[in-house]
Amino acid sequence: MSLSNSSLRELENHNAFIGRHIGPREPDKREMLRTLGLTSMKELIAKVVPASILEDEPLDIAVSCTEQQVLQHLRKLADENKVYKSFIGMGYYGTYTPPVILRNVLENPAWYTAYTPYQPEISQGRLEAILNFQTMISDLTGLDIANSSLLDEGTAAAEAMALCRRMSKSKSNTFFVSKLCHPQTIEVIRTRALPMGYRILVGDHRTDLDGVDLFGLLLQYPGTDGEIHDYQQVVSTAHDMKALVAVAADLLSLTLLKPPAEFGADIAIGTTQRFGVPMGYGGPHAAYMATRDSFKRSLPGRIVGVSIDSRGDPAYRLAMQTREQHIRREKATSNICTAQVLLAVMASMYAVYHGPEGLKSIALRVHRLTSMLAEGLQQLGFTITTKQFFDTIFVDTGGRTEQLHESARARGMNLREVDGDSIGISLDETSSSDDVIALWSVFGGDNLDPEVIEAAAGVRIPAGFIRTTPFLMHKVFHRHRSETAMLRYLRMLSDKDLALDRAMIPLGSCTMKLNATAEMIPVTWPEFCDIHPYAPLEQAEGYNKLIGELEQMLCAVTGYAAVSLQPNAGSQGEFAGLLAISGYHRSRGEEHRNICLIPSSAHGTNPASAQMAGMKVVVVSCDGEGNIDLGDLKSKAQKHSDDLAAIMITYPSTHGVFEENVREVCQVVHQYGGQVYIDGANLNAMVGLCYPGRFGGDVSHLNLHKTFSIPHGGGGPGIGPIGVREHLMPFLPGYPQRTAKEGAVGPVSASPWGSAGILPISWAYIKMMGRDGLLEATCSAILNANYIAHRLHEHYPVLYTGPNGMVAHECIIDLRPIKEATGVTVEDVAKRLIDFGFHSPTMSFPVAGTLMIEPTESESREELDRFCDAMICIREEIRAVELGTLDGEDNPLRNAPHTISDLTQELWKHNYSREQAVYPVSSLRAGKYWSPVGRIDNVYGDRNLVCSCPALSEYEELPNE
Amino acid sequence: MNKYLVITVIGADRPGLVELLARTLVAHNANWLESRMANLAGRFAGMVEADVPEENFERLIEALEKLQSEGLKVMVDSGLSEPDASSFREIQLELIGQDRVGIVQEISAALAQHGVSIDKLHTESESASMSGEILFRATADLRVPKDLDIEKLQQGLEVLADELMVDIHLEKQPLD
Repeated sequence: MSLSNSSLRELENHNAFIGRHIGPREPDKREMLRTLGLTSMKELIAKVVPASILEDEPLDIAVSCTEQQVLQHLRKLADENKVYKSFIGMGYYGTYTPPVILRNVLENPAWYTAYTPYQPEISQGRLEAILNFQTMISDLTGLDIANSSLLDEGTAAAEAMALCRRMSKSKSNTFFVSKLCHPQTIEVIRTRALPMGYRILVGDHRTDLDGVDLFGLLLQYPGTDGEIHDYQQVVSTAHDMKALVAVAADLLSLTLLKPPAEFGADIAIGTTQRFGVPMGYGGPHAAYMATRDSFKRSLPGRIVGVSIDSRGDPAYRLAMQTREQHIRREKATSNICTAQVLLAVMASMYAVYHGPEGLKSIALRVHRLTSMLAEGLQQLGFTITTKQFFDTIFVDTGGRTEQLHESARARGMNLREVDGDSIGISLDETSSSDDVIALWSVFGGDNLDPEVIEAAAGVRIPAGFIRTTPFLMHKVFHRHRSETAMLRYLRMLSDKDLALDRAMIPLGSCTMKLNATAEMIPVTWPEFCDIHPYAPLEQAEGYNKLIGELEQMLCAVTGYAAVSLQPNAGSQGEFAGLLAISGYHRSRGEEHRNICLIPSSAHGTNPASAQMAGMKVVVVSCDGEGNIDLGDLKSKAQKHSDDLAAIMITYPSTHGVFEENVREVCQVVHQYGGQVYIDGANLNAMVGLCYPGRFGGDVSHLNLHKTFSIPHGGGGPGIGPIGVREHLMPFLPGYPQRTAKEGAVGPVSASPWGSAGILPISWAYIKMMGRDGLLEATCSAILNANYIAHRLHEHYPVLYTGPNGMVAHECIIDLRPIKEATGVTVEDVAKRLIDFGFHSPTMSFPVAGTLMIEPTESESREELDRFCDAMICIREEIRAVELGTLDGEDNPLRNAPHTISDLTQELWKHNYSREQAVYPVSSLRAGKYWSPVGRIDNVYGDRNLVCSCPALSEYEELPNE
Repeated sequence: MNKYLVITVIGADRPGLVELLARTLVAHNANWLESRMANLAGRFAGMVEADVPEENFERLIEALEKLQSEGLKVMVDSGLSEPDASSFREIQLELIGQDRVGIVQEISAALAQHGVSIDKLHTESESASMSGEILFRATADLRVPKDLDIEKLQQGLEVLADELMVDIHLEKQPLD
């Protein structure tokens, strides 16, 4: 008998990764299919996906490769990037990520695989980290309240404009943008102002404000040319005309400079990139926004607040969600959904690591080197046009601009290209005196003595601008100075949270699939991290190739003709997609088309985006099966045929079903002159089976952080590229500061390829899964969802199914009848799941009083069973409440989650045992997640809003960490 | 000369109640001006604004009181003059916030403080999308004094809670 009959090809196992990504083994899949009464995956798919859209042809993607092959391939691409020292500035700076943060946050799945903290009890660690972030921002800017991050400085500036419009009492329609703002910021603002009908006036704040009427202004501090201006006067002029003032402020400079609040700014925005987050060819980074307390209801994005838990102990939660798009829809303050939590956590930890004195010392060093640079260049006979500066100077080149750039590049340095007469130079945390010496030699100075120059170079920040207010006084910024302390602080926080590294996160619509380690490894390679977004294109060959290939693979997956990777969140993809539609209508002389049809089941971001794109939302109703009501659609499309712009549909629907009539829906809208936007939130159910670009979609956004394995990061980063059919290609977002592509639509992000730094993740995912793996992932996700629906339907009604009684990749279970009969709410079930060690499914979306479960393909049958067993066990507890064997109020559901403090109280006052409270199933004895806090009181937090670290006295009462 | 009156009826809900009321009014040549009716937990309540020729007034009152035997409790306010429309304007209010005990009372107290009367109030509580917290939603048609500072009203409501979002429409729009 021979040892093996396998061929070498088989033994090489190029498909190895597919089985690593997908949870159920082959025998499991057969058994699960048998449970559903099916014999093959093909049979399953035929029952789930309408024949009218199902395609047979294999995906036009190469076959899979192994983890090692993909890492080698990425290594080669990385080597094609040339890492020059960047002195470009413009809001992107070199920074050192403290290694303890690099490894224990950025490279740690406990942080990067977590979800947005909608379930606060299991998110206390990252909520504390975000609260630190808000405290840091509020301290440095001097303003009352900060949000938990925005996407980038450009979009934060656009959000500031919108905030000015909401809060200003001025009737004016004009927003002034200082010409000293970063150029990409000005471009993003123009893009965002256009659909809102705001007029943008770009000019000099000293000379161009006479006789104009404004609702708001944006100033840069220090200016993009480095100059520190006194804005006191312009702020008071603005306030006199009832205009509000937003200031884009550099965070590091604020450790030395007077904070914006002290010269009267109403809003401060900016990036926190230089607080330890790599440039990454443009992103992802966390932007910030802070404002006055009285404007808090209009502050966009998420805000963490402090409340109390069931025992009265302090606990964190997301506050003021009533502002947000998932509640307020088109009335929301913004369409922002995903923020940049992982990066905000990094930036806040950078402040925890360095503390105020460490940050100030970095800032002083940067300033000293910049002053020396300027002094040396002056001695060499160059004119420094920036007079008062922090870290940036503009140099008059005397006509030698191109020659100087070449000379710098020959030394491996990039300077900022300003115009023919001047060059910009920005220093940063990574700059050294050697760099300054090298820069002098670029300008012809080989014999300058740094010590002499240092003695001559004074402080170039005028006395009146020097910061006197202390910052980061809270003890969290003082007590973790040794690496041991820092390491343990990070571990203590992440241990409080439930992320994918502990258990399944069955959140419907959120697609919490595996974020494979091999996909994550290249993200922190310097060749991907340390490239400035505006470095010369030829230095980013590796990136450019990777971007081109990813665009092409995404076209293959969606059936679209072109893809833009610029939008750095799903919400921004929606906005970009709607802009493409408006641009198309405008190009045909039909700019009056502004009605956007949106089914009632849509995610709240859809109407919020439509509103931002200047469209009017008309809601289309759904029928009893949860499908778009064709009759209602036809009558509304017809009624608005003269001004119909678009429909936004989600496919498979937010109800978790492949609607049979999707082709007809698209046809009806096209017939009346509208374009079809297919929200790609659920694309993971279609990959390899059907193609939105072929069954009627004109444009879609995809969530790379759902379908293509980018981790959720605890609430960001996300990437929301859009795919379009050929006729919309001219209306893809333009590239800021890149002349390569001038379009009819402006840029939506501050950098050309948005969050380029994490694109290697999706690239690696697609390469390792290959044609067959991607299809298998889709089928397995559908199988897993149907298996759960099948196991649970006897215990909880499954709300919507397709005509064959099947769901797509997720299912909604209805708890409304249970609430009616027993008083047990969806919240009770969600919190009780924590006692079983699970993150809750999505609550009350898209239907209030329901849970939406999405297992994804990555969960094994064992984990699915563990989850179903927990749900069934909870159903038995509900039955006990119904039968009266458990008390209607004092029961393990209402009191969930149970903490160790609950368990160890001297007197157990409940009508059920301690064991039932914490070990409802015996397997938990072998390993259990303990919620660090009891159920959080939302109402208390609502009535006592606190959005920065609790006052020291309150902290003292907490048990010693 | 017509007499103006407001009729309030309460009773266990059953089919035909409104018809019964309407029939009684028609029989006395009374004019049904405006009404609000609701059924809550099996109880029916309604208010009808009507006018009736002076000579039929007494008989109408008698007939309405007789409805007691049909299970309808009736109260009649008469001798009122029609409200003076010129000193008020109608606005709409939409409000969303964390649900909690006493919120309706606090809101109505705040409205009363600003001299606002409520024409129509619809409230509901629901589990919030994503976080599952219990939200309170209210939509109301209000009559406010013409000289009322709307912004003050909004602020007066918003101080009730940090998460209360208040939208006020000055134009009358159809409520959902």
